[in-house]
Amino acid sequence: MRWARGIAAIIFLVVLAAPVARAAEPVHIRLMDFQLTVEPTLGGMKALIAEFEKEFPNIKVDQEPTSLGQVSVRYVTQARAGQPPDVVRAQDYWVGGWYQQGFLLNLDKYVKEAGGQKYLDNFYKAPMATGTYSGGVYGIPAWSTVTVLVYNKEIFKDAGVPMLDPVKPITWPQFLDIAKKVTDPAKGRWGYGLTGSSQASAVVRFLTWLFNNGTNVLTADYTKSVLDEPKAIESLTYWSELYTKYKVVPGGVTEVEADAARTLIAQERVAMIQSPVQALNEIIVKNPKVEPKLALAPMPTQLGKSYTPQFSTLWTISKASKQPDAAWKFVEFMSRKESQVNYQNITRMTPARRDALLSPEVQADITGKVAAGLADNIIPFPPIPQWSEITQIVGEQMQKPLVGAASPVDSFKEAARRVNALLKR
Amino acid sequence: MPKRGHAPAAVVWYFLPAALVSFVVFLIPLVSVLWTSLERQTPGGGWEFVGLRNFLELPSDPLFLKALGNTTVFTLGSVVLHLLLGLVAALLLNEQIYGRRMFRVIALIPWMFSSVVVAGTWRWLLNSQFGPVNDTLRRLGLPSSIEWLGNVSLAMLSVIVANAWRGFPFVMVMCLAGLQAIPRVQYEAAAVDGAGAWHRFWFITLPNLRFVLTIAAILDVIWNFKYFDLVMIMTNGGPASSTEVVVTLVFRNAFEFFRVGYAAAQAVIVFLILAVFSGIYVRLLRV
Repeated sequence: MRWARGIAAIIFLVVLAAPVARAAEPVHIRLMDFQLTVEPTLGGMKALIAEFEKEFPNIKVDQEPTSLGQVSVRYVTQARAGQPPDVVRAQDYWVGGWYQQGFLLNLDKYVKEAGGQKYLDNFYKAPMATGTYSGGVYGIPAWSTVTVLVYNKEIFKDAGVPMLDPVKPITWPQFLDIAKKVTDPAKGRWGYGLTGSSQASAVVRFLTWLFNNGTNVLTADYTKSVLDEPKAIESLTYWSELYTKYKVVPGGVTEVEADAARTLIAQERVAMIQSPVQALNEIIVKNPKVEPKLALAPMPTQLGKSYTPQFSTLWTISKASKQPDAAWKFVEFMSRKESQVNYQNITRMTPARRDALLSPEVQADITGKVAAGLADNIIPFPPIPQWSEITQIVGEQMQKPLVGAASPVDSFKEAARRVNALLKR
Repeated sequence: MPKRGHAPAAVVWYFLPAALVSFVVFLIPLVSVLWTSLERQTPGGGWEFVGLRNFLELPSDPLFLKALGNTTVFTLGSVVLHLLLGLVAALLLNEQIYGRRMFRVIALIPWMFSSVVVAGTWRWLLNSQFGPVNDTLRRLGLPSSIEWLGNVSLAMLSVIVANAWRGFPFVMVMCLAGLQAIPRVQYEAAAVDGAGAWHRFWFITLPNLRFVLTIAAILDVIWNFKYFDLVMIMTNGGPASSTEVVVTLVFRNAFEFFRVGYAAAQAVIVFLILAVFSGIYVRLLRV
């Protein structure tokens, strides 16, 4: 019987020790992030995750690199199957749809613990607005960039065009004048790399032209389209005529999405492109020799002050997360000033926090000053679930004048009709 | 001896695994899509039964009608080119030429690549700024600023040509098998009667290949009507929706616009159209 008692004692001890052993096991959180796929953001994220795991040794981050084009599809599929990752970096225009689908965790409880409104006030208003639905917080801004004019100083110099001011914007007539001066088809060189693709990134770039003519896609209360109003039609006319009338844009314009535009300026086939500031790195990767020739300026405007559409990512936590507390610790860590400054140093991603963007380290970078000058001029996306579909309509209709399928007037009248029908649905 | 009309118990057991797999991978998703097409999502992720409302919306949706038209053009164009190229390639490779085996392998190469690779490659080839096609035209002194994928009139044609290149080997393989099954005696008799090459093709080869070509055409229609990757990668449905097909629209509605019920209704329409062709295919095989 002694051996039986011995076995019983061992079992008893094992059962007692099991919770202790389990407690010592680290908690795993799954992170889906498109910035884990390519450098330099991969390096930036790896460094931050290492810092996080050092500070919270009981939490391990299981990284799920997912390409930008696949994140939404993969996340939606996993969320519908009840197996979403705990934390996802979301493009700002995805958050509304995910919230509406009931995929996202309401973060109010955690925000309150982190300081409530004082904590939220750290972030710029526009990205914070796209993380807030029905008064609840569902996303914390990771970075929030601005779109600027990237130009080649050497091409400007050759054409006798003075350099642009990094803070004071030029007007549309001045922009056209410069584009004409630097265009030389004989040399295979054009003024502007217009993004005429129908992809969302190209539509966002087009919105800049609407904003800088004092208009938008929808009314302020998001109930009606204003695309059929004179200002919007004037914007589309000016934008499309850069290609169709003034010929300051190279051919194949509807194939040009964000990356193709970067290739055009990297190969010095165009003198100017519109780009989020951090994409400067991606141009330099394509052709390192072009780096000393590049400079940044605000986008041309008719308003004296340049406006930029929102271009940001937010940290979101899935409602189905089994580790919401650990997931929040990760999100809170990534949204700290030091984390955002460190990430900017490696990646040039503009911090979404005011104190981080205005820090001396960030301001010392070529992108810092121009980004800080525009950070308060960001116009957020309408936080409505139809926005993705509206983007598709704008993308399709803005292409029509470029390919000669309709005039700017007819194209945007049709766009307004379709958007209004969509809003009424 | 089992009774007439009753399968022995063992036969039922043999079929059971296949029946179970079919149930799981085919019937459950099918019923799920049919049911989803009768629903609409409400804010917060709930579902609301809407009956046939999603289907009733389809005839007044210009984008759906345009996509349906584009799908028809894409499918017909692809199938016709597949049949033509496949038949010509099969006739050439059926001849006693030097290196015939090597050429047969080479001709199969397009079919071996995944559609994503094919789409990416053709997108690069046809890029108006950096693509080798325009570059070659420029070197030859020909017009070289052609927007193959950026012009509403050319984009669909470009996608069909890329698809023709990728898909013709399937028809070629089927035709080759069909050609080898034609009795030589028919050709010998025709030669004795003094029939030329054209007459031999028209009165012997083509009638003998009729069944093979019909089967190939029906299968090709079924595959191309729901072909997603090539259009999505080469043109993303553009420019100005000129290459938007129904399956890319289903994808957009489900994953970009979060209109899952509406996307399911569109998918059901695709299913019904393809069911007709599948029915013809099954009926032909019974003959």
